[in-house]
Order: sequence, then structure tokens, then C-alpha cells
Amino acid sequence: MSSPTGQESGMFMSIESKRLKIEPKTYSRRKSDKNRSKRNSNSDDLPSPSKTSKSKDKYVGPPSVILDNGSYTAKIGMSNNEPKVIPNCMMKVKSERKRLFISNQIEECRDLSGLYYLLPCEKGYIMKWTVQKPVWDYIFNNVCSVEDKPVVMTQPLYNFKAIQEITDEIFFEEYEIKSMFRANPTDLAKYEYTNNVVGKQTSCIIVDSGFTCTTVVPYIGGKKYYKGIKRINVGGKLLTNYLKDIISYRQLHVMDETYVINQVKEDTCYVSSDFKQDMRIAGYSGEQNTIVKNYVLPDFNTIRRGYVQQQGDTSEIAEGCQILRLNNERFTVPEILFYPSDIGMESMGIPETIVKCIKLCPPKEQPLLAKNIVVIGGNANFPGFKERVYSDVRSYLPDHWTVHVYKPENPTTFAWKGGKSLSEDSKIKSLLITKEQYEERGSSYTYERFSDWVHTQKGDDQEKNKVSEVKPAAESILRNSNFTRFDLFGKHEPEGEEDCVVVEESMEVDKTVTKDSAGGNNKSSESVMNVDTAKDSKEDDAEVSNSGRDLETYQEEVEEYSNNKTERSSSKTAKTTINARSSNMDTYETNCFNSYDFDVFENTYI
Amino acid sequence: MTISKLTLRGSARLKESEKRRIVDETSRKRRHRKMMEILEADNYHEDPHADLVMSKKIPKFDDNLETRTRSRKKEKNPEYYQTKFRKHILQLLEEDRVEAEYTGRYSYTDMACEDTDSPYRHFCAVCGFFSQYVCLTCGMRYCGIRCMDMHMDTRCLKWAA
Repeated sequence: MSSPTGQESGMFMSIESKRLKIEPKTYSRRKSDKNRSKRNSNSDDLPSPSKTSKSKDKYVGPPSVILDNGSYTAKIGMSNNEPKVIPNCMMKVKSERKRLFISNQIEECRDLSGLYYLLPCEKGYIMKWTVQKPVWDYIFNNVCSVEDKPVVMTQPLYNFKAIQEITDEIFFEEYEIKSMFRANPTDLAKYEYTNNVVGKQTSCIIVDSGFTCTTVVPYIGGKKYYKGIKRINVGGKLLTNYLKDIISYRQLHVMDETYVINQVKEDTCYVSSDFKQDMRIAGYSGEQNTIVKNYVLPDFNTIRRGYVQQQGDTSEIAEGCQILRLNNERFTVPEILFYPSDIGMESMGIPETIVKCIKLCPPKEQPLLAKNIVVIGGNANFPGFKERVYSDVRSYLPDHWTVHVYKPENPTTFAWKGGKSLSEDSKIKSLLITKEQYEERGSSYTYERFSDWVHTQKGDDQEKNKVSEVKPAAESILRNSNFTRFDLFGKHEPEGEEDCVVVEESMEVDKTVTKDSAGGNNKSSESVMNVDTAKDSKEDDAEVSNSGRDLETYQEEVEEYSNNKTERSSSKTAKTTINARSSNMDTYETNCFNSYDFDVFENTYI
Repeated sequence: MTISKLTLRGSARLKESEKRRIVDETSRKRRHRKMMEILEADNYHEDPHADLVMSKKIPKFDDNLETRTRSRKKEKNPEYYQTKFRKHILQLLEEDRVEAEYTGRYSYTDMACEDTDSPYRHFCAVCGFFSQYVCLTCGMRYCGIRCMDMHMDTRCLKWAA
């Protein structure tokens, strides 16, 4: 892990210097369009051969509100400003009764002992609207105004329909925002990484280690590779609670002091690079033990915030203040991220999950993924986190693969930054859903647009792999001129690719259908001919009829496909066939889906 | 008969050894589950304001929001959304799973992480260093005599029902 930093900064510098030319342009938005597109195309840093100069245009709209709505902190700010990281919760304290502290109001509170949290999220999903709504009210009234502005906000992966409906209602109907786009924080991080860090479209793995859980998401060809996504149920909350538990058992009873212990964790914990060696050092006594640290707890009278006591410096400690002695706690707590089995959880750790995730991806992409691992989220702030991820992943993977782990300067706000750069991209125009569109089509429309997992099919991956085996699809996608329009988050399948998948599938179906009918014929003739073979064929028959049921639906699709082919453009048929395949689509959903298609179609030629 | 005599004399040690029992697998699992619940909890302690009568003293969230231009008519109480939502996380997860199964799409359950391939490491429940010994009664781990004594005195489940 010695050279990559140099490499990285070099790469970064070159992009930076290129970007610098554009920077002034971003602010002087009122310049003529022609001029801008010219400039940008000159200083383009996206090497994708098919890329048109248009796609890098700066968006000429008003600045948008970017909200990364995490389960512990919300990252909020205008796109022309810096983000603010504020608590996304309400808090109660013992000393001030009758008062709720919303979000960063907590800064006004003096006595933070026994802080009681009201968190809006469970498992990362917004569940308590009685908490989330006042927090949003507070944020948008005091931190950042949202009315009549475009909003880019984050939502967790597989965000449920019920949650999205309420979110829509709050933002569109009550806050009256102009337009909205929702994406997963990893999407935004991937966007930021590919556009502003490496400067080209590349497959990558985003590791988001947040408050409730850690998710590992591979991106191939600009889209989430759903088969490879993994979640580890270890997050910052669990680490804090664990530290609280062991300190309460070994030293002081601090079970009520989540807030204070969270600070202890942030101030003292680190990720060990050599766990066994650190354990040995922590076992020594006296001078040899370089790990043990004394932490002075705040008393909220003279000491507002706890701090690490410097070694040999005992004089300044006022009488009566409490000290925690942290020894192996300092590194065994973050170690849970790497070995959840240490506390008896039946789960893999981060490095093992990354490797597993790489192994689940198509073989062609695997070395590329190993080269582009991005760690974001609050837990990435632990000292030594990146180095440990690197060395562990390195030890799992073949020697000739290059492994590179990228940790942004501020892992917490990286997704927010991605949202910011996205909102300055011209692509955002086609991604935003305006208030008018919402009013016309309702919440199911936004659900379709913002939930790309709805359009996934478990079988699809294998089929796609098959295609890529026949001809390297990934490259052809990149060269496909259509791709740049939709390549953002895979919300819309690139037309060319989708088409060929469907075609191949229909061909397969055709074959099997003919086989099926042939088998049926055989059977009938056999039954006349021989009794013994008839028994066998009955068994065959059962199998055939089983598969026949599936095939019937397929046949219908094929028919529909061929019908549609004559009427509509190929891209639309691809969508409708997929529609037909997900059999439970309600009619209104299908309608909205079609109209959405139509709309996208329109958008592309705007 | 000697035992009855001894119990009459009230030897504490023998009384203890009678009550002492080996904790079976299910309650060990229960203990682990309970620990995981504590680790997942937002707060350990009770709501400090729980005993307050909040009827009229509920803080008004929009007390200081005079600057807002939004029309009052459109503003809704947070309770409105909660009652409209009325769902539990497990319910949502289950609905999601069923829908995903039906349509064959990926869902939350597909993200779950499998068990690790590497062997579990064992740590002393008392001091946190590597441990080699298991408490015969309750299955927790300790690293030496000192920690064993501590464990027996505190967290050992030998008395647990």
C-alpha cells in the first residue's frame, strides 16, 4: 500500500488540471450554450469513444438541493455550496425535559449525558415518519430551502414502495419542489468515482459502510450488477453498542451514553493492520504497550467533549473527572467489520465479501473490479481502514491482479459530492421527475423510474453472460452511441444490448417450443406402438408438461414480440416483453410503464 | 441421609452445587440473540421523557418557522404520514420478498451475506484477548484463571433459569 497513493494523486492531478479549465464555466452559467459545449468537449476527460460532446454539458438549471439522507446523519446542501453533515434524528436529554432537539439543535444543549435518540430509520429504511418529517421540516426551513427547486436525494437499495410513496407526497405535495431524482448513495458515489476520480467509465465496486449496515455493490458497464450485491449487517451503530457493552462490563457503566461512547469510538478506535501483533502489544504492561490510551470522559461542566489523554500527562486532569482505559478495545471493535464472526455473527467480513462479490461477477470484469474498489461511509474514517481492506483483499486474489482501494478525502460526503456533480451534468434533465409529471402520473410512476431493481430478472444475468461470451458485449455497449444517454445508473437498459438479449431468448424459446411439440408427437406415436416404452414416455410427458407451462407464457411473449415488432420501435418491444414476463403487472402499472417509455423516448430527442 | 443433615446445617456450597446446571444449546442461542438485539438497538435506556404528560407540552415543531412561504393549508402533521404508512419493517421486508419471488426480480433477501469460510476466532469474554478455554456451564470463553473467576462471579449463566 505504499505506491498507490502516489499513483492516485498523479492521476487525480491530471484530471484536476483538466477540470480547472471548466471550473469557471460552471459558475458563469449564463454564457451561451455553444461556447460551453465547445470548451467542454475540448477538455473532456471521458475517454469513452462513443461519447458525444453534448453529454458533458453543464446543466444550465437553477442549483439543486442535494440530500444524502443517511440513517444517522443527513448530508445536505445546495449544489453550488459545501455539504453540511447534521444528525438525521431527534434527541431527548435528561436535563432539559419538555424539549426535543431536532437535528443540529443539539449543539445548543449543554448536558449531553444520557442522550436518547429517536432515529427515523430501521435497517436503513425510513420507518418513523413522526421523526423523519419534523427533521426534514427543520432542515428545509433552517439549513437549506427546498421549495421550487430540483432535489437530488438518496434512498437505500430496494427502498420499499410504501416509503417512496410517502416521500413523494411529502416532497411534491407539501414542500412543492420543482423536480426530484432519487438514487442509491452508491450510485452517486460510482458517478463521482468514474467521472471525477478516474475520469472514465469503468467497472468498480462501491463499499458503503454506514450506520446500520455495510453494502458491497459492484457496477459493471455503469449498472449495478444485482447478482453480486451483498450486505453485511455491521455498521457504526453496532460498533458503538459493542464498545458500550464491553466498557460497561469491564470498567464503567456507560450503557446509557451512546452519544459519548460514539465520540470515544471516533476518537480512539482504529483498524489494526496486524491483528495478532497488536493483540500481543496490548498484552504487555508498562512502556512496551503502545496501544493503551486513557480517555477523559466529558462531565458536561468543565469538559464539553471527551479527549485522549496525552501520555505521561496526568497533571491537568481535574479532580473528579472519569477516565476510561482503552486497550484492546481500540482495535477489536472495528475488527468486527472485518470478522463479524468475532461476536458470533454468521456473516462474512468486508474483505471476504468483496472477494465473494468479485467472484460472482463475469470473469472478464473481475480484474477490473479488483482495481477499482471504493470505500465510502462513516466507518471508512477509521484510521487504517483502507490499508486493511487492501491487504486483506490482496491476500485473497491472484497475484497478477492489481488491487487498488480508493478512499475519498471525506468518505462521509462522497455520495453527496456525486449528487452535486450529477446535478451539474446535462443528463440530470432526463432523470428528474417534475412536479407536473408526478401530478399527472402519481407515485407509481416515480417508483418505476427510481427503482431500477424492479426491472431486474434473476435469470437475466446468466443470459447476459451468455451474450457476452459469444461476443464481448461490454465493449460493444461502450461503443454504442445510445449508451451514453442511459448509462448513468442503468435505470434504462441500453437499447442495443437489451434487444439482442431478447432476440436470443426468443430464439431459444422457439427452439424449445419446436422440441416440445416434437416430443409430444413422439409420445403419441410411441404409446400406440409399445406398452413398455409408453410408461417411460409418460414420465417424459410429465416433464414436458411441466416445462410446457412455462413455455406457454414464453410463447405468448414471442407472439407479442413479433406483433410488436411490426408496430413499434425495437427498444419499446424489449421493454414490453420484459413487462409481459413479470406477470403480475397491473394494468395501470403497465400503462404507466409504457407512458414512461414513451416519455424517455421523447426525452432523448429533446 | 448425610445430605439432609448437611442441608439442615445449611452449607452454602452444596446448595449452590445443587442449583448449578449446564446451560443447554437453546438458551445459549437465546443469550446470543439477546446480545445481538442489544447491539442493534438505538438506545439502551428508557425514554427519559416517558413519564411526562405530553398532551399540551408537545413541542411545536413549527414555532420558529415564520419565514416559510409554504401555504399552511398544505402542511400536514407528521402523524398523518405515520398513520398513512402504518407498517412494520418486517412486514415490508416480507411483502418485498413475496413480490420479488412472484416477479423473479432481485430483492432485499438476496443481499444477505453467507457465513464466513474462515474459522471463527475466540476471545475472552472478560478481557477481550484470545481465549483457549470454554466455561463448562455456559459456553462463554475465558483466557485464564483470573478471567475465569471473574466470569464465574459475573456473567456466567449458571444461575439462569
